[in-house]
Amino acid sequence: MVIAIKKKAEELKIKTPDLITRHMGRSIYGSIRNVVEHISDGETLVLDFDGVKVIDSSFIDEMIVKLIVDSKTARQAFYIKLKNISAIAETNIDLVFRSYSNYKNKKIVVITENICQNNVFYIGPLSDQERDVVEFLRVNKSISVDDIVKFTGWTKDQVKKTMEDLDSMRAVKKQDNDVYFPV
Amino acid sequence: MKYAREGSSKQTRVPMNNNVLIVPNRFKDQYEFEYVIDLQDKILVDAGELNLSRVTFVEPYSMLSLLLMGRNYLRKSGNKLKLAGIPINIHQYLHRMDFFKTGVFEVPERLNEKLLLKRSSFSNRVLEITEIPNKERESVRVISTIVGVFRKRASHILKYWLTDRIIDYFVTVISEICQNIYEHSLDSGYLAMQTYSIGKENIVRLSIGDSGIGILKSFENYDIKYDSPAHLMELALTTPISSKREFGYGLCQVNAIVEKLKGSIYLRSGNASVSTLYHKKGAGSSFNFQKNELSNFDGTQISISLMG
Repeated sequence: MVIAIKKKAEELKIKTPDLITRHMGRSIYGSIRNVVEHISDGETLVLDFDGVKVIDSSFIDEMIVKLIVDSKTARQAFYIKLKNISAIAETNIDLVFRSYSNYKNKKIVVITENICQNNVFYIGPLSDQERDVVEFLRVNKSISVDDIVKFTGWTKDQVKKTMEDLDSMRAVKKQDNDVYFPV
Repeated sequence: MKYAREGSSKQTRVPMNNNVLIVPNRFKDQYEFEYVIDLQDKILVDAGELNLSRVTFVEPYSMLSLLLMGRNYLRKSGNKLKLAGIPINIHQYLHRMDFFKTGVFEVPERLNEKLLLKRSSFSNRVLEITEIPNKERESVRVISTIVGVFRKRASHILKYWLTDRIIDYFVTVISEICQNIYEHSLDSGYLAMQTYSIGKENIVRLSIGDSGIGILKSFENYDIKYDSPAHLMELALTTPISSKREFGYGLCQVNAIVEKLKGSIYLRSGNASVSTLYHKKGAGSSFNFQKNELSNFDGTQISISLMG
């Protein structure tokens, strides 16, 4: 499912290109939340920010962070991917996610459709190991725990823990047979 | 003839005639304006009129702080503080910045219409004084309008620093700081921005101020360790602490952007201030200064500058 954020903002009579303040974040979150009620299990929700320039930390906290938390706790598991994020939006999201991860002691990340400023396809504080797995998966489309053991040389327990963590962050999609797919 | 001491300068004294206070020429930057803040008690208690005849230059932070002082006077006395002896160039500037539109001061002298600065010729380099309400919904509308005007004028305001990204950085800064007013101060505030030159140096300055509860009081029920009010303000700039939520991002985000842009940020609240000069960082000199035990000035005031 793809949601064009600019269009969504215009429906709510919010002026673009800048989506700023908690008030705007709450309005757009409320509107998207209604749509998410009908999402299929395991589906990816693509938030397309084409035409949006600045999103500030208040907006990010009220909209993106809440949706990511929902994606982990909703009855139907779903995944979030950001598309067409501006450089400043990426910088602001990264700062919010790092602060959130530090203070909650719980990492928060989001996968992106486009390459980011630090040459990866996600925003947030992943470890080097986690980054390697996410990047490998993006290129190779699917991977099993055994493949990752071969690819990395880590122990099977290490790999399982890493993949469980990435799955709980909604940074990878897990299938029943311990095979993982990119978001 | 009465005299009031001019701040910490023991030598200079400011003549005070009955209830008229001749204000010293200390409106060039936030540090000089401390001399005017030192006179605040005299202004609020003794003076019914400020004579600005000695003032030769006013920058946005000093202008907003004078405005807050006038508003405090109005709130405490129920009367408008009179401004007199305003030099023509200062009168033109204050008029252009909508200083008198705020309705805080009584200004008996009117400037001849022919002398008023044309909006079209000067508009591009300023954001006029705008009141940020202390109610969320109204404030969101005002912030959106400010950001809209800023985007239209950004190529002129940021002429000497222009990149695509710098405009977006400033939109973030304006948004974050304005939200702090209604989220934390419990009062309305003001914003103004201007690009100007002093000698060969070009300066863009964004100033925002309120007379609310201030940073120290805002954190009084928050479990955080600090050595002094200025240290707490430093923490508010560098770590995502919040007095309202589990953690906050606003000031921290603003500070990170100012560092990226190699600008400077001055934060004053109550009787303390923090000044961080990122353009001096790495040059071997100190770039971070904390001051406590300044004269009290209610609320929080911020000045962000780029030099080039």
